[in-house]
Amino acid sequence: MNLWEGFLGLADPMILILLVTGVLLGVIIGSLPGLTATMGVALFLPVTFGMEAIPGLLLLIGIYFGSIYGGSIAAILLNTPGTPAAAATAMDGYAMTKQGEARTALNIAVIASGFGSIISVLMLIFLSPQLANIALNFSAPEMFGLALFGLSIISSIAGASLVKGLIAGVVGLLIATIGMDPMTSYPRYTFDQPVLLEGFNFIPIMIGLFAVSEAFIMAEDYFKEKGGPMKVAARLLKTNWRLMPKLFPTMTKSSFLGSIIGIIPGAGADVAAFVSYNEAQRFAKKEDKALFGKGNPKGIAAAEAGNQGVTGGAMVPLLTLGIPGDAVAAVMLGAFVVQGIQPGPQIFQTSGELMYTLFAGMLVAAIVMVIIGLLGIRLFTKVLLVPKTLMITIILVLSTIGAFAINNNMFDVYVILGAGIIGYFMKKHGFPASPIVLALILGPMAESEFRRALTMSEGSLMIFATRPIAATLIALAILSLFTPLLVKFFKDRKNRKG
Amino acid sequence: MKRLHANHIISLLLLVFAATAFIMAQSFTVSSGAAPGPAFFPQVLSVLLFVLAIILAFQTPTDTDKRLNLNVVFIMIAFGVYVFLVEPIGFVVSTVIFTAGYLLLLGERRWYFIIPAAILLPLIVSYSFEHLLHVPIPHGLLY
Repeated sequence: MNLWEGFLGLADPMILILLVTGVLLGVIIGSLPGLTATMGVALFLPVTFGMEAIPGLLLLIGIYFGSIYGGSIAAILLNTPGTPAAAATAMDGYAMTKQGEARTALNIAVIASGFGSIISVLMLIFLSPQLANIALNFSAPEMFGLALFGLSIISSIAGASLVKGLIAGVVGLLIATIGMDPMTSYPRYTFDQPVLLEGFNFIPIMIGLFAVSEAFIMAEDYFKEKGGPMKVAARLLKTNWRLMPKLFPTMTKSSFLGSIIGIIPGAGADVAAFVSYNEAQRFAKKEDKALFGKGNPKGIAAAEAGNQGVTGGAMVPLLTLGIPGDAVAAVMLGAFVVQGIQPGPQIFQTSGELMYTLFAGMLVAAIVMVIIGLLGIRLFTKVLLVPKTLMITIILVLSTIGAFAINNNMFDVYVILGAGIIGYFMKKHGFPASPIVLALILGPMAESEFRRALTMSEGSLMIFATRPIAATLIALAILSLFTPLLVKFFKDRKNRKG
Repeated sequence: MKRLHANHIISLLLLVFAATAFIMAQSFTVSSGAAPGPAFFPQVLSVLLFVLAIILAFQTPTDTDKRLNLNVVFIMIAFGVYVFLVEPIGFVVSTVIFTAGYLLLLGERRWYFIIPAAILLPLIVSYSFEHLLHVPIPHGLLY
């Protein structure tokens, strides 16, 4: 019922044009190796400042959906995944290309991606009102537990070094305390600079860390390789459509799997792709199983439906709890905040109509993506010919003007320069960037809810232990913080025994 | 004592950062009843960072290519110059210079590629932002 009204809200040619533009941009961004979904959404976030909420958010959602799918194009044609999430697609995709079935592989990828999006958005539509309803009764101690849980996933997105991930997180939390204290308005670490009173806006920091520093890294790689534009050797022949019906069970299963993985904070599209791929292989019949990695269409279907399933899944905790599960979700959260929508349990009360219009828009985005993917594939293979030098320049110019557009002042532009340079050195030394952004978003929430809770309890920490939901969330947070350490401990012990 | 490596230097920087943050927070004295005041969170975090920085110092860095590529330094400086030119001389003119300069710096030598790019990129971007998205852009002295 509500969803129907949502579709009516889309009946505006401008919205549809923006959706198509978003998906197109997304596919282009995703198909270029080195450009990720996170960078794409961060780069175009400032573009939405002047727009209304629905068109602005749908443009970014189009980019998000499109770029996750777009990653499969370079993976299939060149064996270089356009995004980390497409690495699983490359295994069977490139094998099919070598067998002359590039066109079939590309079409399987786009249909599986569409499947993944639609199923995961349907899951989002059914689950998120329920989850928001439960969370509606949360007060300060529970909200603190939630923020802490959101922060605890830093350990699972830390990458190679847990300590470095945690350091990035804590530095992010400290940066988040700059500016006026949310409870007493006392200016902290402002050095008497009025520009620092509001604290650091996390959007320019994100642009700096995810776009500018990536551009520097691309430039460095370019200097090392000195390679010209990539060559697409594969010819796009006919599609073997008769394969498709056989793939539907795999696509459906992987879509659900991807959606569920997407809901879990900390597990992103790359994890979903590999888990779905492994599951599809595990449940395959004997002769079929041996074909995985050698050009099995099911491998592409599973990986693509799985990584695309994350898109809707990741929106569940993001919208209903205000917790971004990965870097793209964090950027999307920024997009909502810019539009004056605060994701969290109240979102269906304060912006219910808007939510259903967005859900409807996401379903349309998925369909648009399939159509564009099927019709435009020749165009997207041409994108791979765009010289890297031009890409790097465009990214830096867009970052600059985008940062300026946030508040119409140059301070934010200097922030992207600083964050870009710092982000470059962080990456060189193995410090992940996403924990900083998560900390900037969840830090203020954690701090103010913690202090609010202690005001409620007149200073007694027992309030966190006696309220069952708060206690459970805090326990979960501690558990998820130490999971990587426990996993490592048991692995080491097993290895020593074996 | 092993050789000084990257983690030692980073750790030292973080220790100084954490200590400074802690000491500065000492002056955040505003009473907020029974609940912790504005200094509480920053101080807890500074202590946490201090401990993590010490742990970092005892870890051996992973062996990757850590040599600073001089080309990348030029790339960063050129972008920095551009960023600081945007306000005084204007977005469009500075982007023309930046695009041409950057493509040259990155090793592009085809003039029939550089010139159209340096003209079209600033025009398309400034037109889209100003007229399609209604976001003002800085024009400075020269436009």
